[in-house]
Amino acid sequence: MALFGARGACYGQRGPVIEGSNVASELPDSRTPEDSTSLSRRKFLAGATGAAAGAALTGSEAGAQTSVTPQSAAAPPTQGQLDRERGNPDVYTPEELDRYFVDRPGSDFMVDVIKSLGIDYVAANPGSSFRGLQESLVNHGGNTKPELLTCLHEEQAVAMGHGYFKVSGKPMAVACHGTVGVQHAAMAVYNAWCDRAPVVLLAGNHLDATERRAGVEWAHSAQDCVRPIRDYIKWDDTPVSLPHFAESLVRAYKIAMTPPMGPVAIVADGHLQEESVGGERFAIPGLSATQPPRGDDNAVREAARLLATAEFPVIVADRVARDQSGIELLVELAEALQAPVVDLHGRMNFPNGHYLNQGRNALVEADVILGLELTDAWGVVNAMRDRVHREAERVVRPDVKLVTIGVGDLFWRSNYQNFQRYFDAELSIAGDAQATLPSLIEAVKAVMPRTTSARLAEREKKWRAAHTARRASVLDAARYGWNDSPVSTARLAMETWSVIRDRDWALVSESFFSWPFDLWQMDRHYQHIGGSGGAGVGYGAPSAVGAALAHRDAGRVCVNFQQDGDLMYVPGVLWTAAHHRIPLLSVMHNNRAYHMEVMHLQRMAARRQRGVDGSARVGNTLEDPFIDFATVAKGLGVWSAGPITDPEDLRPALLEALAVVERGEPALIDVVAQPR
Amino acid sequence: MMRNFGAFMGAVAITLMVGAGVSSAQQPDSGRALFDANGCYQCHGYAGQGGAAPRIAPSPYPFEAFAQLVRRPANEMPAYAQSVLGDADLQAIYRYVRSLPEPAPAADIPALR
Repeated sequence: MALFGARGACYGQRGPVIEGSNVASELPDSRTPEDSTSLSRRKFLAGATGAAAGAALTGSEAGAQTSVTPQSAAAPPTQGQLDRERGNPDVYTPEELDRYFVDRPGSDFMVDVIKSLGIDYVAANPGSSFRGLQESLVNHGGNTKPELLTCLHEEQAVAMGHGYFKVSGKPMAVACHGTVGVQHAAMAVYNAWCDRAPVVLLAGNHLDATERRAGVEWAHSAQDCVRPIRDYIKWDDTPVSLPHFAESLVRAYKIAMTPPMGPVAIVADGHLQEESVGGERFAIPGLSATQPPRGDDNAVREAARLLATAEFPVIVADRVARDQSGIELLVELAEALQAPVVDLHGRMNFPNGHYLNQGRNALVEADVILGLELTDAWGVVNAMRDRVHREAERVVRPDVKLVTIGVGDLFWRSNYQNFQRYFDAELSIAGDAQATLPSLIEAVKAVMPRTTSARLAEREKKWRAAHTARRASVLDAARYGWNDSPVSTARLAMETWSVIRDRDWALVSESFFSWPFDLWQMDRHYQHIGGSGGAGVGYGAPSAVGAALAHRDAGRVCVNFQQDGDLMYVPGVLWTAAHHRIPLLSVMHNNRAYHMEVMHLQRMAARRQRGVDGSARVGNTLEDPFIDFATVAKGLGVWSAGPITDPEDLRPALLEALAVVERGEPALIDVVAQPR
Repeated sequence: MMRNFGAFMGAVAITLMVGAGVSSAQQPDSGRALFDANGCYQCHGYAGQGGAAPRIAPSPYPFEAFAQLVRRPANEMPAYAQSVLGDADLQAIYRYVRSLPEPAPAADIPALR
């Protein structure tokens, strides 16, 4: 209590808390020591105990702050006293009211703060450490903006928030239950961190050890609740009062949304949630969104000079576009330079039908490479193949100049190594790429030599031809294995495309095959959400559901190519999709294995000249028995079909599933498919 | 659990085709079983159509080139030594790869139009 009392005293300077409507205002003079303690803590939580917080309230002190009329032996009985004497069960003494009820819980104010930020959803697996907040979300907040999303695991909840952000551009809040909830959430938080996706975690906790119930409440409480994930979040705080909570949550939101974006966490103390704030009114700080940092003008001009005078400029884009304007800016820059764009698909950055959309082969000739929001600049110009001896090798011209623009250099933490290998770029510009593109485009156009028009035309002709040839080559490759069983990934992708291509659609998953990026027509930012960031399995299904939720109001058909291994991490998300009526077409890429590991084991066995024959399957395949995903989905309330092994059965199932999705429900088709 | 996906996706693996010297006693069925058991499908697909590694069917390389690539690959493909994949088995796999039919043209496949 000392900690809270000290802080509460600070806020107590604002003035008296107890008002006529406050339960505590009716407290009689004959207060017991226990009553005094109760009131004292309520008042400190309200931040209104003032300098007297540390002292037990005396009857006269309490009376001085209230409008309660002192009782005397000669006074007639009040109506309440009469009711009580008559045994009316709905009338409580002030002592009983104080003992049994809370009329202005702190968590109501917490919900007001959440609402002030425009957060639309709070995803949560329920837990008692935030039971006050949960009740307030529903009964004080009306369960709308934010709406509570019932999740079956915290990893699911955070990954839903991850996917939701990449469509809506808004963070989702996730409530976690103390120590166990935070640890369950950890893997998904790491993915969001690696992928620069903001998620606002609200961690319930009981910091005051003297008021913890024995047993589980201790096991679920911590001195430092967020410590397990602090290495991969941008910021966190443990507020000790409600004004502190308001300020820190608004600050956390601001930090999460400032590039480089990332997850944040605020501890919502259980006592703060559950105790009354009395009559105090707390201000909620306004949100002043931080403008994304823009690259230095002089550095941008130098980058433009290098690009404009290059013989073979190439652009590599990772997590660049935040919205459609980001795509349009990148197209404008690429066309100004007639420079091919290698899209690493961290986000939907560049239309795949544009002739300047090229593969990595375009890098071979490059003399200047512009890397935008790269996490791995070293990996753009080097490779380290998986051989017995790990040796780095240059994969581009030795004289290539690499210019980088991105926010990656602005914020890192040390322990987890997702920052990739160091590379000494020719020019490294700290700034948000999308925010910097307008000035870069302007600078490029200003310095582009007038003599280059013929050269630009030549480049355009070259890249148009290359794009056409590449698409034809991929289309030709798609027909091989078309009628094979298990179903080829080309057929899986293209049969799916054939049923959605005339709709407003979005691909809300990663893909372990490149057919959609090569053969679908992608030109809208919302049509692809990029990858997981941290490659932590268990991201795919829940992030797809979160993204589909963000698409729901627009009525888009969302497609999720769902990995079998991934789904088994948090299969409960299918129930969440069914429960909340989130339409999503999940098409299983069921290769009945952790197939990447199969290939790794095959490599190890071959390298050691032993056990090649089938040994790679041990420990890696999902067979004997096969997982019946259609039955799993059905059991979780999701329409399903499969397992489909005959490719001729795929299209009819897709059409049937599409009808389910278009009436607003999720559907899943289990397709037994080729590994890659 | 982390997955080193990129390393494999960048692989350029060529495997398992034999030209001259194939035993006529080897049948495609046994070749398919060997193709699967030795993990060729993992990167090249069950129909040799490619995936994490290039397509290898139905147009095989000459045997001499194949043997060099399988035993001493220049890229990320693991080397298959004689001790784990004998020549006879390799030939059976080759027969399977050669037996795979040429697919229909893309223009004849509705979903590829």
